[in-house]
Amino acid sequence: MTQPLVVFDNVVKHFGSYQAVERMNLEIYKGEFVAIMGSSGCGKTTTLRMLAGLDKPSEGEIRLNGERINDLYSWERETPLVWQNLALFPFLDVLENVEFGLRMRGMAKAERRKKALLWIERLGLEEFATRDISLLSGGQRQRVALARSLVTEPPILLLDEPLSALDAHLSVRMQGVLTGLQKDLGITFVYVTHSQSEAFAMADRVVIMSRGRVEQIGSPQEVFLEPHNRFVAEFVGGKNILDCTVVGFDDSGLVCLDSQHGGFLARLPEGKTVVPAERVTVCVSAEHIDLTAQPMRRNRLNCTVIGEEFIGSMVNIYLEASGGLELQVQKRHADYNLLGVHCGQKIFAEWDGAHALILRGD
Amino acid sequence: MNEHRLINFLLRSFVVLVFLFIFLPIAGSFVFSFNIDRFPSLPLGGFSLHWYEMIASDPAVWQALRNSLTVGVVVSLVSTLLGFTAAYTDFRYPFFGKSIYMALALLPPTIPVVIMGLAMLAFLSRVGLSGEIYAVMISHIVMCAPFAMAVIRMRLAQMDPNIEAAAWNLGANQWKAMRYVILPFTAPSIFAALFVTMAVSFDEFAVAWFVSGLNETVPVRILNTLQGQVSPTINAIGTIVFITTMTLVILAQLLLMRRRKPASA
Repeated sequence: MTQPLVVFDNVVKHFGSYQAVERMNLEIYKGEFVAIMGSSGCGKTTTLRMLAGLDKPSEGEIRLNGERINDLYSWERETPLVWQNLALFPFLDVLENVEFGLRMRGMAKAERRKKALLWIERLGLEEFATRDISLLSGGQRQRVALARSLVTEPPILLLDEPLSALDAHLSVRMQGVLTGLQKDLGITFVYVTHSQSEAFAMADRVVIMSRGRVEQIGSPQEVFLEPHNRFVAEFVGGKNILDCTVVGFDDSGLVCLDSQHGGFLARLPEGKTVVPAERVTVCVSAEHIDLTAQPMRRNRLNCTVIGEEFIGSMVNIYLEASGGLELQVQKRHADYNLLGVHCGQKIFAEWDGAHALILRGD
Repeated sequence: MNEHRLINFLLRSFVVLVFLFIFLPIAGSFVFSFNIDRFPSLPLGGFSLHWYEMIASDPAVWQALRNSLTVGVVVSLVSTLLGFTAAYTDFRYPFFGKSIYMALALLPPTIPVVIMGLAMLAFLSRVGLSGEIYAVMISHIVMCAPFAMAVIRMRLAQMDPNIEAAAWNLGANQWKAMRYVILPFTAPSIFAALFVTMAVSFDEFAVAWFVSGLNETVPVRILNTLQGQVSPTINAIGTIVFITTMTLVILAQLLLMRRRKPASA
């Protein structure tokens, strides 16, 4: 395994009595696109700022290429940040904004202009080079901010929710621009976002944070298929959570569980063991649940349809089981039409034991 | 709808009357400064530049003008420097006792000028500066710096605080960020502060009268002239002072209005 480019070694950050980041351990490798995600206040932006040199860790060490950088000022590091509100210099035009980093490094005017124009072309901004930035659209300003950060050809680029202000269409287009850029340049991207769809679409690995703690690190597939705990399962969406107690094991290796809604079968993730009477959390994906009048599987619930939600090519069906438990089922349009369910209808929800996952943590 | 127009008309007339009330004495002074008669009277006697010629040949007036300009330039430079540093401190740093510090920095304009004049006289004579031109400079710096601070602080409030951090992040240390980001952004307000403080100093009478001694500034010269003999040269001096001060203030206002672009991009 090659040496990681960035290491967060037991990094803690508190502002007075407020704990922003609790014991973060993270390794980022060269060429990776890593997304740090979570809802507001989870510590993702603080983490990014510590890497950029804008906040100092309270404890622990951050290493870049093996060297400790805690005590380096932001201007002594090569960790340019694309700000959420872009922070372009309003008194400079596009070219002057882009060449700023090179100018601070003392590069001669002719040379830095050439380099800046190169990046302006790369990002499709040639015709705006001498324009005032207040005359640009949101997407164009985005690209100026990107060019400005990349012109010094850094080993790593930090991005703080850069697409959050853009409309859905533009956001998706920019996602393409970003991933294309990252793959072409081979630069490591560290991308902070609260949007699960953005992170999953672009990242090689995601770091899910909640209230200063890292909940799970893994590829988008890993995190989606095998969430570690309730928070991650709820965060990635489309999951149903059940609280159960272990009863025993069946012949095929599945775990027998009991709950207030009946008995279920579920599978264990690799490396986890349980004992009888232990309380566990079970997670079932919405797309793995079938609706039928004649259930045939062990895992079943008697429900009432309480709502439907049309989301493009899929339909979300919401059901309520006894005891107020709400279920979410996702079906493709064609299958939904075949089912012919309606609100208030009583129906069974059933799923395979193999599709029910016992979560590692709480 | 007719009530609407009537009320509009009445309101506008009121504003016009208020402005007339304020500016009529000054307008009168302006008109009579060109009047050939010794005492202001209507109808006007005739057009004459006689009084302007008189003050142009009065060495005391020229000296007063030199004093006012010297004081004005020094005061505007030092006040703007102090005002800028205070504004930037307020903008960037939280620290213990900050609100008291800021309250003190903004205190001078709230002190009645006579009290300020007496206090300055008492203090400056203790340190042997009373009656010197420096006395006026020091007093005016104290009184004008808060104006500079207010003007520059207002401009800083329009600045996206992230652009300074963005400059650091792109390789500018704190001095470079100041030079390449903060100063260019606040430049209009710095020039405005220079003009405003100069105008305030040029016009300031009370404290200058207390501490200037024989080094008269123009407003002090005017009073002394008035006390000596009532001469229409007063009108001429007053007109010149008015035009100077108004020009400075208008320039400052234009500078502040021009850069009304949104600060964050």
